[in-house]
Amino acid sequence: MEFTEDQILRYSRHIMLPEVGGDGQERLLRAKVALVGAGGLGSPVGYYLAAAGVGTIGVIDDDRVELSNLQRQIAHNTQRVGTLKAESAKTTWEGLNGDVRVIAHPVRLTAANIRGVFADYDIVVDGSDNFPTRYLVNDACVMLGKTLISAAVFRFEGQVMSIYPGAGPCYRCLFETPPPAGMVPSCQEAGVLGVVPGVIGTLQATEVVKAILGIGEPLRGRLLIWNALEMSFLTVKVPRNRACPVCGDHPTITDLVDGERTCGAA
Amino acid sequence: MPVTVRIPTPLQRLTGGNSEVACNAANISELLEALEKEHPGLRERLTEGGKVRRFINIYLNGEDIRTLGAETTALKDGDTVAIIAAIAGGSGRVTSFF
Amino acid sequence: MSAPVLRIAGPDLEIILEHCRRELPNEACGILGGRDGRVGSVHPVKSASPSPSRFVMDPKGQFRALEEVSRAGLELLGIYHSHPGGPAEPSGIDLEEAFWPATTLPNYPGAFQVIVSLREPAAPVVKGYVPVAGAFVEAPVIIDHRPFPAD
Repeated sequence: MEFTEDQILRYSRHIMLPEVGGDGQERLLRAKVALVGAGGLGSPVGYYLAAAGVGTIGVIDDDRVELSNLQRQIAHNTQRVGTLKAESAKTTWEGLNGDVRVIAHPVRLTAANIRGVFADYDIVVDGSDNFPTRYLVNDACVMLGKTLISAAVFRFEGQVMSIYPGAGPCYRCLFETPPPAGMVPSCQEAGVLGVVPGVIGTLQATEVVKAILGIGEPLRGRLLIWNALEMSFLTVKVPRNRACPVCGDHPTITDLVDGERTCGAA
Repeated sequence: MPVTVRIPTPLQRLTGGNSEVACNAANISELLEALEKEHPGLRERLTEGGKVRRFINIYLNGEDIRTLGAETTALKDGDTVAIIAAIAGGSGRVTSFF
Repeated sequence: MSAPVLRIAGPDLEIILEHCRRELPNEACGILGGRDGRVGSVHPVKSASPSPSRFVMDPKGQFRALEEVSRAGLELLGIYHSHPGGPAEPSGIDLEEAFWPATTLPNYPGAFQVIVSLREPAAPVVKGYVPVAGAFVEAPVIIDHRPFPAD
């Protein structure tokens, strides 16, 4: 790949790393990553992937920017309150790096549209804030064979895990069915320290970059849990469940289904 | 060695914050009287009309006194009497309206 | 301070749900042993008079469960029960029974109250509360994948 002079300058700190080099930077520029959600987690993910020169970033979010988002959703700003998050994120990230093409998908993911939306992307990052979406995204990625970086945050802690279908556990291996309604995360306002999704989202971006470059040890089969108050990092081994209903030896989930939207019910 | 009595949390304010007190008594009735002397107000909260209130479980060395002699249950030195609030609740309706 | 959080491992939650389903159409009840907001053990307890709208823990079973918790070096972390036909909200009776009569003192301060609604048996609802001054304050219940801390 021929880099322009600007690109050589822009990515100089990458290119000078032996583990990246021109080859690695080219891979980043050719990569296509889909972000589910342009909120607390999606904001830093998109920011750092754009900075890294990930050539195509799809951002899937049908919400609009609200004032209460701005304590943590740094891809947006005060002037954009009321606008579509997907469009706002596109403006921010393309503004950071003109090499990056951000494709806004202002839709809600459903069993019917998810395969189509994910088709053109190689890696998916889950920054959603509800269980039904998390399970739908997991199942779709397993069925489509796409690498998935999944994460969740709550108050002062967060967790992140990388899912490599066919080569490690998936989200259902960790927890087979969504927890009952009423449990965290519920749709009630659950506070979160603004920096927490910032840290966890950046960890997700780290896993994406490592996956694209093929370097380092991914969080495959490992769940990383961070507690901001204790400043503790803990990894928990997640074995692949051979009886996993979606990625196991004899899958029982072979169709994608929309989860119950339980928000507001309980 | 007298009898050890374990006091439920909401009543510990009457025993100076102590979760356990020692007592000398020959049976449960006498125990309640003895407790009242040391810690006024206890008996009134534990009994009604001379009987232990329904929502209060009293165990002698782990046995529910209702299966022994209730208030007449005999005590000896070294026994442990645990006074524990029953755990109960309800959904507040007999049938759902669906 | 934020409302305290109750953390429970997936398998322990399953034990609670299975027990609640088994007791249908009657209310199920049990004790949770644990420490620092983390459930370490689940102890289903029989109801003294099984009913779809009421439960009273069998006194012998209650004592045994409390002893098991204590012997395991844990504390009474919570009490769970089900509402077969109602929402996962504390009822008037739940409130009444949780506090010493004519006071606002919780019988078991610091113990989470976990209520399981089986109004839709295939979609149970689980909510947590803590008793505070005569009322229940909602407390988040979260799945915790970390191993229970060893002593």
